[in-house]
Amino acid sequence: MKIDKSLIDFLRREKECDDVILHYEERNSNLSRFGENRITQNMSMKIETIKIRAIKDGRIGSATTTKMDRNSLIRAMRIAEDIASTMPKDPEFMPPLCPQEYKDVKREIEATARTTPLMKAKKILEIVKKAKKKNATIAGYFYNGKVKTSFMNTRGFFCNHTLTSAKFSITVSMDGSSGFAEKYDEDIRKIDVMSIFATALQKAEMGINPVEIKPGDYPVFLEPLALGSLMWYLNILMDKRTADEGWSFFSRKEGKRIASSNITLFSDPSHAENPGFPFDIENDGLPLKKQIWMQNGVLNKLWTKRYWAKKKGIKATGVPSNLIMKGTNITTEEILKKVDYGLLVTRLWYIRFVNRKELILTGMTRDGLFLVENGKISKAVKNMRFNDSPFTILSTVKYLGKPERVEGRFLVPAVFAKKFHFASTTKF
Amino acid sequence: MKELSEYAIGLAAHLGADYSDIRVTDDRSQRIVMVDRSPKEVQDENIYGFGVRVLKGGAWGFASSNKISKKEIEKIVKKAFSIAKASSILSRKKGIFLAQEPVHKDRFTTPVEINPFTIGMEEKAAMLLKINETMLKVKFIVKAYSYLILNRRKQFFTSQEGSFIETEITTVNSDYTAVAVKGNDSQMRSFQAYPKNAGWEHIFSLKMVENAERIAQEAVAKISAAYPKEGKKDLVLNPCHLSLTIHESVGHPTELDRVMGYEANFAGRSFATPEKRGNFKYGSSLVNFIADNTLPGGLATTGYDDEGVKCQRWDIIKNGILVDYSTTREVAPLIGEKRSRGSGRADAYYSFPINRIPNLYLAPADKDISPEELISKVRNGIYIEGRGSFSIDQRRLNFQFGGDLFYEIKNGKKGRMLRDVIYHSITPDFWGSLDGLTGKKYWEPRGLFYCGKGEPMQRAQMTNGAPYALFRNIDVKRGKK
Repeated sequence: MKIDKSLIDFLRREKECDDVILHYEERNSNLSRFGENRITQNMSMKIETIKIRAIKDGRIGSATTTKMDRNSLIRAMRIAEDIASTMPKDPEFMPPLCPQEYKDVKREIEATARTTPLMKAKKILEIVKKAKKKNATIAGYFYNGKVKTSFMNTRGFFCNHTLTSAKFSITVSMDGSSGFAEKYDEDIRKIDVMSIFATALQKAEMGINPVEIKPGDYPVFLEPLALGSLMWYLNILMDKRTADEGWSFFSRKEGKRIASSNITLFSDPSHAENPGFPFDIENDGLPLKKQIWMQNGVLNKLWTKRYWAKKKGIKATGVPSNLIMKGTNITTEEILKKVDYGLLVTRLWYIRFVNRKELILTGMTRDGLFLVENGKISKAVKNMRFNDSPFTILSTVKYLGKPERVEGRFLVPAVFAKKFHFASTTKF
Repeated sequence: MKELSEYAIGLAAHLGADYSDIRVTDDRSQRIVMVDRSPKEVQDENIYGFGVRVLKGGAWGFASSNKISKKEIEKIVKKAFSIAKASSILSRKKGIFLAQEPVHKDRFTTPVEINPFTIGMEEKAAMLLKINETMLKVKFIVKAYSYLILNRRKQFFTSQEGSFIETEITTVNSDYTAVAVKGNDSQMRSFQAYPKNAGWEHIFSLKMVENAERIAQEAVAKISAAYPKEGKKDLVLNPCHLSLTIHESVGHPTELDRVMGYEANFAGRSFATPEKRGNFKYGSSLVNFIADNTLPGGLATTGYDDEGVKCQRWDIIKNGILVDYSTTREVAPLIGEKRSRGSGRADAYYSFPINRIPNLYLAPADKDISPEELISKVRNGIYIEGRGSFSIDQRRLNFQFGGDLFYEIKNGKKGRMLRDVIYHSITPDFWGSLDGLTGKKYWEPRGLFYCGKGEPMQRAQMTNGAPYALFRNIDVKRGKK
């Protein structure tokens, strides 16, 4: 079955309800996973789904199928219609969107889609040879894939997006120590696996024989990967509705200073270095535009879904598909030279809320925690647990580095902040 | 289906596969999410497809598709075979030797009294709406969330060794949360129901609507509760709370694949390394952990795992000593075991089976001890109910947990409500401090519906059970600045 604009007429013809929304997704994922210096899992996954949402008099029902023929589509539509007819009216119902304009974001790279398992296995083999020479073991994965998304409704709305993506992620282990590095890009040719391995290896080598230090407040130098993992939580909580309802860290903070004046946070799907999804599927396909969330430390606005925006009489932003924090051109090495004392954090792990209202998170450092003294890494440190808010960091940032892409969603710099609370230590 | 599956493994054998299997999976799921009075997601989903696993030259290849036809199966088998060959340039030197498993020709179905898919969506949505409306009527409640998830997986597993296993697994899951706001303060409280492999009768037995007002009132009461004094305290943990602590500090560290380094890049490694088997003191002599994938209603009670291994019951920790692991057919021989423990599971047709936590539970005391008797043994402590914040390091040593409801214990009596309690420990220290358990009567199985592991991340479900338990001198902190 061809998935294009012509399907709208078919839906219009066949529907037995007011409106139909169709969301199609085709995922082709290829992942070569390795551990203990060999490939442990190598897979090619294909999944195609069609999700139909039927709307009847402000009532909504949905059905999803993986069967890609018109009869199955009609069957799914009938299931969705049946559900809609039995549901209570949705008091927050928003009608489907009429046709919208989108900025085209090119994220499809043929070389990424064409990369074979053998090509990836050969790269991994080269690294294994180098790791063995160092008596190290490696674990990680090399991914390439392509996702096609189409979204349409019977009011004539249509949008689609094709994304190829590649990621190389590696942990190097040696002598009880481990080092981690990874890189994501739409273009697999921009992923230099040898240099990523070299970074992880260096971390592992530097991490041997760590010392235990006392828990407490420390100045911290968070590498982009560590800061990026905290950004997920900001992304989730920057919801205007939750703030307006009074149970968010951001409640009553719009227009107020919440971070240092050197912190500016925005999203922009057409950003050259960190492109994102151009529309918000969870928000009926709403086009996503450049939005400035935090300017010079002041909370400018929070994201809104369509219903809440209408209730508040403001324009809906949709949920951002990327976040970008302004940085500088200063390299990590240059920042290190300026640091008298502090902890350098490579990666944070198992982050969870401790207190949602105060945005206190907990998590562990991992794969590279070092003490910095007089502008240099002086020793490796046993991993520690933090209990603190990302805003303790963002409100005491002294230096910002050059932004790097993390998880294909965040573009964030390394930051050096005056304090962050570490509550306990572990055995390695 | 049998014919197509046999064609797939016949073709794989013809191509030269050392081993192959195919899983044809038909997943049906119904989901309803109610936020306040708004049905946010009301969906019926059917995900149908197959995945082929091929072992060649000491390496795996896996491919999958959602198109089921002879032509597509041929394409996918050839793809899996070519991926295995590509992987074999980096295979284990000694090859992969799968643990032996008898050939099974069998069928397993979750016992279900009331098929949950025969209950109308209208009735299901009405139940959630009633819960939310009840909670929203309570003063200071600003938000009510409830959900219902019903899953039914029909799977046909066929292996090159001759097994053909049909399974039909039904899981029901529902819960709800109230959010209270008073001034500039806020607290949440959840019912903390638990999923079960069962039919609608389980949802009915939970008495969800009947408890909604109490849950909302407790959310409000938490705002006015006192903060704990930080320091060492005795803790009495209820089964729901403890099920998560067990999951993180015993279930994951004893997955043999992570012990052997397979998960080093993501889920992590484990401190419970093989040389400790049979001699490592994991906890006090009261600590007895049993893995049981035959547990009635258990979320990992599936008859067979996704490698065609029959579900089993075995000891993981006996009288405080680490004695065994959960294993797959690939990793079991690495510690000299001839048979897998049947813990290889995949979350969909397109996923590769990996080593997952089984149903795992802490055995109750032999004597008929009640929770009140446990509390009576505490001079200065805290009683914790339900799951809250949770985090553990990648070798499963340093952990920190919160909870959902807390009460002070003073001189053997449960006293005032507390809020924002978190506790921290190191796994063997924590289990070493176990000083009391309630009897069988108070033991509860608690399902975990979303256990994430693997790259790409896969979901798994299992049941972790516990009695009420008393731990001495645990480091308690405030979850507040």
